[in-house]
Amino acid sequence: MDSELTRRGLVAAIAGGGVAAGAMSPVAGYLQRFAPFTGDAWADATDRTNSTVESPYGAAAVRYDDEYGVPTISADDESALYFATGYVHGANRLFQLDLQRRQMRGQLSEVVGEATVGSDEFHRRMDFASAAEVTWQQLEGSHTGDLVEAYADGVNACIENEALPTEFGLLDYEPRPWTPADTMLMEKQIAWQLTGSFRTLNLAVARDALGADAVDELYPYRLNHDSPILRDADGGLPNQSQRTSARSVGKPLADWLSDFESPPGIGSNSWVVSGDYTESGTPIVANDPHLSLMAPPVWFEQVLDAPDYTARGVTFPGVPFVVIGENDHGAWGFTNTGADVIDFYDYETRGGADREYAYEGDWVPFEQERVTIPVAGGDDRTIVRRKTVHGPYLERDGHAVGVSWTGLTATRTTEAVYDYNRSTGLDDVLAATERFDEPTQNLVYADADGNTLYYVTGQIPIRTVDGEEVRGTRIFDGSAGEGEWDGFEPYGETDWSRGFVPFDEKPGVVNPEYVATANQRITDDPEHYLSEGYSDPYRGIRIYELLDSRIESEKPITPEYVQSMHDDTYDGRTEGLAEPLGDAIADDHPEYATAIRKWAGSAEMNRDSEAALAFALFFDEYKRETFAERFDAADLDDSYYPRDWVVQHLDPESEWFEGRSRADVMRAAFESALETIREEGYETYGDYNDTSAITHPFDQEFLNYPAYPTDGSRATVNNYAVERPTGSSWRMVCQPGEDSVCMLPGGNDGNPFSEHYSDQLELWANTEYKPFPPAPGESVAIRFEEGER
Amino acid sequence: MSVASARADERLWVGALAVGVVVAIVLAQFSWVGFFVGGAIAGLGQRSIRRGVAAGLLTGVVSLAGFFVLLASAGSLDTALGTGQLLYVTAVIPVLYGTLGGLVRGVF
Repeated sequence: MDSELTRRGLVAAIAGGGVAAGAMSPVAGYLQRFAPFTGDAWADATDRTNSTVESPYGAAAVRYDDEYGVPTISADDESALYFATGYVHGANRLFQLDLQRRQMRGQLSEVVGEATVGSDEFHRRMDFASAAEVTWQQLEGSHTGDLVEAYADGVNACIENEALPTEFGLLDYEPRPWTPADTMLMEKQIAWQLTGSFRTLNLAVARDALGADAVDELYPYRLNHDSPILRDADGGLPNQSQRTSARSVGKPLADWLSDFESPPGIGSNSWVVSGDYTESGTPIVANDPHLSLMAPPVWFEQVLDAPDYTARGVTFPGVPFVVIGENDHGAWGFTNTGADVIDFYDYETRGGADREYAYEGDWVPFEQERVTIPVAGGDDRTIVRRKTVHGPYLERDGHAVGVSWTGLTATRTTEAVYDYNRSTGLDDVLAATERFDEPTQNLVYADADGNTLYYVTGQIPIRTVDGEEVRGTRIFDGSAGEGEWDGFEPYGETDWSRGFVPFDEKPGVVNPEYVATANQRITDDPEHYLSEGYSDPYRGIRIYELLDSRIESEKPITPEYVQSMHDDTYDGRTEGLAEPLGDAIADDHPEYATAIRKWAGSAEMNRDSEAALAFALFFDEYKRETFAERFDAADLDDSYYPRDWVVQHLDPESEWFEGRSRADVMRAAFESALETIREEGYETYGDYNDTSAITHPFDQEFLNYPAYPTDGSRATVNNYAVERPTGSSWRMVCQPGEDSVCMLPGGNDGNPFSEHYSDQLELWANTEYKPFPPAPGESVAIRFEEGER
Repeated sequence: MSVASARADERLWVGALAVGVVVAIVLAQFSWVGFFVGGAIAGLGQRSIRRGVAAGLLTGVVSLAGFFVLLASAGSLDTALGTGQLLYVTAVIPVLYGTLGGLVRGVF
């Protein structure tokens, strides 16, 4: 009897203990997230978006196209339209919305843990959130502001009504309500990604490590090519540099900051061709912005069917309006200008906890506050955030620098983008462009009336020292008030009419015959300093070559020809390198030497090419072989290696070859490349250059994209930098008023269980297109009905 | 009729299992505790603790199969089967708690 009781007690203890354990952490957390039927991680796998939703703004309808899941959102009232748009963004990309704002607000560690504390510290020191808040305060109460509020309400209705995406279940948290300031924060995010450059600081570090002459040689102020965007000016050679003030920055600070600046490879292609050269007589606009490639894509495609306009194209999730696309009157696209809209200031300081900095003869207290960074599974961090009259004061390991960036003030870009959506022609677009405060972009536009346009957007500061206009290529003496931007109010409202390049003095051409932009230098002879941070000109040169040769042939430029340009894989880095490489390896690897020489005639980075594979891997090894030893000795990592254009054009007798001949360096680099090829089992370029590099932030196999071999390199018009990965984040070819085409690298839906998660990826890898806009589906997927406000 | 004699009836074995599965799947729409309760119901109708445990385990397996049917009906099964660790943890839950529920047969 006793043993029977003992047995029963034991069994009861096991069963009861199991249940009790399920109610306690950490088991409870696993059960809540992963249990079949109720697990948060599965919620979006089994739940479909509600077909009927109450809207306080009135009726609207969402139809997804049957093939690629692109929503057409229709309403008779604009507020109802943008409420529905917010709901759709929530339904398709909610985790992406939340992740982006967490990054910009410095709240990643709250859900991710220790790994992102550095990122949070940077973003909180920069205080992008306050800049977004003041931008919203400026917009609030306007018609555009009302639409942004309706959009935020739509996102929040989705959070309330629908199952949360899988990622929330995996990280075990719920999103906070979306706010209009979060939408402004998305503008700050993309602007930072495109213009947030610490190049000035990095060059100061390089100068201290390598010397001023080396910096001038390896990081020239102007690259020696003749294919700027605007080719009608000949400004001759500029002064090599104005880096003579020679202020230093602490390397630990510069190294830390370099993790948060605009990543290499961010760029874009666009061109506009007037109807004089097209088959139909209607202008053509082509655009493919090169941003970070990820799953899901940075862009979301949508069609907005408003009462008095229809806009279609792509937007950043979190932004209601179409950013790149077309309406019934015209089409517009952007590439990054690369303008210098950030400056750095050094100060004389004194004191301990309540520190002061010298400013124009006085000691001024830093504006400072203690900021706590919550950390999931770890100790919260507290930092002291300081600001000066110029902006945030970034500190690390005892080093510090003040920063001014045009995005840290109230900006009007949201209004400008909204105005593009409802524009009816050139005049509307020019007026909107004048208010496009950030980021600096190359706008190309064409309308159904035959107008074409190229114009630089964004506010570009004018710096002065002793009353003389100077470049922003130095660290300024902040205590002396050097290089300040007149009228600039960080975290306030700026008077753009004062210390910034006037709109009519910015580069631009109304009704050009054709213009090609690919982040290369804008013009040889700008009225004001614009930048020294332009991209390598390979794509710009190539696009102009293709347009010039077509026009000289007197064949019309057709949409099909433009699509073939998108697919162009000529790699200009081979010029002057492929032949010497063939000579260098002829004895050791005669078959490769022959293949590379033969291939160099076309130099196409195509997936089936063995020579393209060898050259791509060789080039990076060649760079490393040339610079690694001296850079390592100077404590400079590979992020300081010079750009491809400089490496390609190094003098064959350059001292950087360190006593070896260039052929010796090439042979060593090629052996390293061959070793990689053997180790990885690559046979052709497509084995290396595939889409498996495009991953989800969680880097889980089921969330990452599948592997499709593809073409192109970081230097080709068909742009794909597999090593980063960055590339064409959206391709479109538009003829205003006529048929257009487009493609996304991935899919429109961020739900990994959706059939539209990656359904465009293979087409993108093959540079194929789909109709733009798509035909809306027959049935209404989400019907919004009038509800209580 | 005593509990022992009722448990000798094969129809009770099958009936308890069926009811256990239904209860598990229905209650699991609200909480993972449903797997335990379903496993317990299936187990209590069996003639021995060993069979009770087996019935609980079977309840968990069938419940899991029911979840897969739900995923398939939503078009999500292919992706779900590729989720790796997420799938493994998910599969363990109904099987473990169904089995623990079946252990209740050893108490009553």
